[in-house]
Amino acid sequence: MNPYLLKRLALSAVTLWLVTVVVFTLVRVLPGDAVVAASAQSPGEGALTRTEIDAGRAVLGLDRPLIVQYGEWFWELITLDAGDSFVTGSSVWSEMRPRLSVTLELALVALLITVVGGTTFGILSASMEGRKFDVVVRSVSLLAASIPQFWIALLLVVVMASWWGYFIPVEYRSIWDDPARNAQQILIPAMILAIRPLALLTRVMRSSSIEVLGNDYIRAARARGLLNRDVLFRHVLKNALIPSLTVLAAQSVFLLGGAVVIESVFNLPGVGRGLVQAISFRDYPIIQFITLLMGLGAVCINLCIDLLYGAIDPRIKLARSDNGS
Amino acid sequence: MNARVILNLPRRRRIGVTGIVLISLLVVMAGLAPLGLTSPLDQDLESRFVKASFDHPFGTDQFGRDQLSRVVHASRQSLIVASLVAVISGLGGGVLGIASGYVGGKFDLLVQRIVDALIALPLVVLALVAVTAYPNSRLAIVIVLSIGFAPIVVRVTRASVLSMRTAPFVEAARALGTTDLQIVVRHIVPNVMGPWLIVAGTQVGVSILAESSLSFLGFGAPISDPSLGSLLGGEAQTFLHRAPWLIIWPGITISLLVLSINLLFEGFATVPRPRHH
Repeated sequence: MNPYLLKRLALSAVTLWLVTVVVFTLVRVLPGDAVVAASAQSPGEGALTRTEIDAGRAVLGLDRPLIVQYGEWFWELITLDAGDSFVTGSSVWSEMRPRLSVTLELALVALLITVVGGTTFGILSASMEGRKFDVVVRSVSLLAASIPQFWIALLLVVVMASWWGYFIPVEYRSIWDDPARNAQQILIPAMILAIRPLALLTRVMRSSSIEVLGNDYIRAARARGLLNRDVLFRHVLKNALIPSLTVLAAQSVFLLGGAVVIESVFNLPGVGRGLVQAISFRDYPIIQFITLLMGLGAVCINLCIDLLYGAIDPRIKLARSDNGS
Repeated sequence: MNARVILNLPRRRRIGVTGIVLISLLVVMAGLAPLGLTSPLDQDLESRFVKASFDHPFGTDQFGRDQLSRVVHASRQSLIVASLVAVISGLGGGVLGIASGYVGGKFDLLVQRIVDALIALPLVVLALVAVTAYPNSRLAIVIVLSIGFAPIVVRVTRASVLSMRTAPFVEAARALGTTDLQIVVRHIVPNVMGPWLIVAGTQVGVSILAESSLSFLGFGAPISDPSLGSLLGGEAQTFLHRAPWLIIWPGITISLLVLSINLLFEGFATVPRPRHH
């Protein structure tokens, strides 16, 4: 295996381990725990006594030193067992699997919109620099990067309901059960989720395409009689993508975070909404699992994009093997 | 800088000036809020759910509270939180980034791994988990968002320190026997200021958005002292179809705040892209 890949993998593993430490510390530092939260949630029975709380903590294993709890959690992770939910008692994995597919579908559709839209608008805008299309793309993308997504979502819900009497179907169906219904439930949230990443990718793609367009080899390609379309989507696309990849990596992480908010607005039973619910119940195993899952997703995305650099630009691969970093 | 960029300058300046004017107007509006407006908490159950009128230009909510006054007060809260976050994460991230880039070695490696781990978690998730400890505390939000934003500042400043560490003027200073502290203060810091200022400044806009997301979800600003995000969440969502005017103005205000900051940086700066390592 090539040494660069090995080094990247090792670094990703270290990052991931640090993510588990950050997640664990963050979650366990919270004052109040599942037992206290449960007692607060059932006001009719009155508050639990001190001994009852201690007993509840002992059942959940919360009375042991933090380092022991971390060790146990970490061991479970390695053996691919994420533990049981404090609230429902069933395994975290069985609770999360249906949620995972919702969020994955949402994020992937949004990512697709971002990549296709961002590269196309960016390149076209660059090729028409200063013309009307370019001015519109620049203004719209600047505006789109400034508007909170959940607000657009709320406006859209109101507008669709009052102007067309349309409501997004409430009860979630998976794409396999009912594709038409699933499309109604996923497409609009995914489009809203993609707005900000799309705007930012378009801007970066535009400026890097302008840089590429100024190169001699583009003029040479034009001189050879290549169609404008071929110049843009063969020569410019590949070269302009490289600086855009960094933005894409950051925006993919943003997509995961944005999913938390968008799922809450549209009541989608995804991982993000699960996180918000788990937090109000102080359901540590679930909170830890979801946060770690998002971290894992982000680390994988970063690793993939890092490897993509080499695939797209052979110069980067050469430079890396030269100095071994 | 090529000719094209220079040719664009006047237009870009116009954009930047628009940003400055807009943000100044919003800040003045938010600052003068308490004068002349009714309290955002004053309830008037006689006039609940009033649409826009002379007495209540933005209408009233389910308790008959004046929405204009609420929006103005809330935008002040959003601005305060965002500026504090930019200052704290800017200073903290800047110092750490310079130290990490200049000292290098094991210290640098350690800092970079922590930065990687923090960047790997989406900001909203990080903040959501951390803020649960002290829900609806403004201080907690400021601290959490600052920790969330600092890694980006660290990356940018570190990258520009690295590009300077072996620059001739730094080597010359070292050869003359200048101490490390003096090199950093006299030579490194002034040269890092540009990218640092831009990355810290753009955080103001992003943290307004992040804070409003948290408040929207109900984990942000205290109920007695709402921010723009909280005006859109919770009860406003319950009465979404009955009183849609309640969600219009807070959203426009957030957008204008963020837009003015984006215009400002669009006009006066090229946002640096931290190199990917």
